[in-house]
Amino acid sequence: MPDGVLPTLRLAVLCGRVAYDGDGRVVALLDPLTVVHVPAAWSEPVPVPGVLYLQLAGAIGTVSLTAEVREVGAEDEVRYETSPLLVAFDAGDRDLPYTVVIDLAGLAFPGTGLYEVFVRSDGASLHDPEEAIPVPYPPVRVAVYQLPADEPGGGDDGDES
Amino acid sequence: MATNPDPMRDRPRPALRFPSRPAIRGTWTFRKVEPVHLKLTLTLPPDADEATAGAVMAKLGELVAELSAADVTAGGKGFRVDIGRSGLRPGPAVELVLVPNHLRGAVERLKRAADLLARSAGGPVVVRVATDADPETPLYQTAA
Repeated sequence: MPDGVLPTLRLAVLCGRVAYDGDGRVVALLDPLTVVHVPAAWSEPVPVPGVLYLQLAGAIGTVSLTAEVREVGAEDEVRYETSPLLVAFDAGDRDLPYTVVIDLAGLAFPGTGLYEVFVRSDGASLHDPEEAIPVPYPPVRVAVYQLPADEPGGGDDGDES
Repeated sequence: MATNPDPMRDRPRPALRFPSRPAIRGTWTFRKVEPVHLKLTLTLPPDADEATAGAVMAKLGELVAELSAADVTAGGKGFRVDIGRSGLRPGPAVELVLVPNHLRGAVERLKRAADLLARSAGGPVVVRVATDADPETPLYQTAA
């Protein structure tokens, strides 16, 4: 986007779902997600059904939004990446954020651990101050813990409340 | 029960508005990022000895350093030689395996490196990019 301006990320929330009014405006964020508990015998990838709610402001033109999921650790390696989502911003009222709600199809954490979801716009991270985005925003963080078998919800027949 | 007086309670309140835009909705499909590598196979003359192979590897190492620096300049994290998977092979041939220092966009970056190595290596060379999980199925391969 040679004549465009990249967006500033104002808010990012990972949640189970959002509620809309009749005009398609978001009126509620439901079931915010920060920690996942899996039973002791769980050995598969951990699915994360939900949406990512973003508020983006200050952009002009069309940008390509992608995300990557990194496992927090010594290597901080990328585990998942996404197809691009094109979002068009107009030049009017740049103070009014754009609300973007993105369904996270196919996101499943490889196992227990600490993960962070980073949003990128045209390849530039909206979180990393080293990439010279004016207002960095912390990445969405999710911790996946495994329950001991003898704790409520940790057995095969337990349901996490 | 006495209540605190609220001078604003009975006054007509100004009509406040809280504008917001209709949400833009979309879907991200996540795909697992697989570790990938680049393997260069350079065929040597039949009478090549270990010294010749060493000289070829040294020249390739210089090329790798240049490619890695260029990748960093372009926003990547560069490449490194996987010493355990590189070396002299029967034929004789030299095999050089490169791995990216970071997996973001690694396939595209390795494809560009493959093209540059194929042009600069000097000699009959095949360069392929593949995942570590399935090294025999190339994602990309230069012409022999």
